[in-house]
Amino acid sequence: MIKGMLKTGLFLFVVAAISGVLLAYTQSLTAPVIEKNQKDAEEKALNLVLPSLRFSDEITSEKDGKKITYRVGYDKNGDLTGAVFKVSPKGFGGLINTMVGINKEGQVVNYKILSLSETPGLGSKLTSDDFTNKFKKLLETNKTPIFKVKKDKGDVDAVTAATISSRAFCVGINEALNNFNIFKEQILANKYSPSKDNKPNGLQNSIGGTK
Amino acid sequence: MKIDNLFKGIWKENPTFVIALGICPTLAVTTSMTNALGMGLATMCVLICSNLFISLIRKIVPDNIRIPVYIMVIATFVTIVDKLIQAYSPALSASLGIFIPLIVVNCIILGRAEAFASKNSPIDSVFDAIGMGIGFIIGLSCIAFFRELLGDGKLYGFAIPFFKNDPALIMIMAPGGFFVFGLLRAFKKHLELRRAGK
Repeated sequence: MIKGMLKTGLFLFVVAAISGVLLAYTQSLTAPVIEKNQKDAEEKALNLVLPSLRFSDEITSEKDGKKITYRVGYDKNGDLTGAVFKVSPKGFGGLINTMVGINKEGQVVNYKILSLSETPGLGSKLTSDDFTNKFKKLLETNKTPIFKVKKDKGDVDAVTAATISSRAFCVGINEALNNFNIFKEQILANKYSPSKDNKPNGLQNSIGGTK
Repeated sequence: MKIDNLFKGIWKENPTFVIALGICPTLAVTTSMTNALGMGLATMCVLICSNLFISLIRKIVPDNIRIPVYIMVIATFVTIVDKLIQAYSPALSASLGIFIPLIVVNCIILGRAEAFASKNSPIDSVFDAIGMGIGFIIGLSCIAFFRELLGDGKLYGFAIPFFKNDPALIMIMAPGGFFVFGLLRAFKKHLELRRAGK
């Protein structure tokens, strides 16, 4: 009896140990690559959400105990084009990691969803061309849209049958806008400095030139 | 080795409509044909590997702890596959990655490990996995066909004339999934009864 228990216990222990070792090894092997992939994706997204020639590294600003990090873009004359924020509103199935570009006039330029875990086929349509194009059209036709879904008396066409995800998306856009408005002076005070910001942005590296 | 193992998953023991395993991910992803295919392929890959592996170790696993061992094998396997895809194929991960966490909760994998792979040879187990995988893809696609067409007016993301004008939203929401699932199951039963001459 005792011997049988020891035997099965030992077997489970060995199986758990093997799977633990395998998982740890996979994690150590893939973690740096996955991180690099995410960084690359972010670099590419930067130019999409705020077309600019160069981007600064992450800048941290503080005001009234609130702290934000963002990156700013510069055009070919070294003038500031705007700021890019990363926001993570809580959606239906987890965080919706979004990158939002805001130009120096304080208007939303574009967004890119870096990752989400919304329901496939419903909330996941936030990344679809359908939703993206409608949202871009809204930005083009309306200079001061209300970033709320139409159900909440806003201007954003929600994804069909995914109101919660669409609301969360709007929360993210508004958070980025708020951050911009609160920290406007600090953001606009950033100056292009060739020594610090002379790296071309990621897109330029991979596709070759954005001019 | 029996060739029947390859085909039984497609009609006679279809995982979706006959054994009714893995219904949770089935209802969740069948809102579009693309998702159904992605989920089906990802599940099939995991199923083939887990069936093969569990069949290989079936003689050394003590009977009374076989379930925890299977769960550990499957969970380890899925996690490793997930990490490798994320690291070395970001494009595939972007389109398929969303389904991989769902595979862990798909009881087809554990169901076939327990019901088949733990009692049969590796080759038969792989055949069983391929058959079940194809059956699962067909099952998902059948449901997704009606849900995407009626609920979204599209197929594989392409708008279909007539249907696209006024789609019935309820079909891509959860109730629509249950409707289609139930009706298709009843239809399959009806065909079988007719064939049996009743």
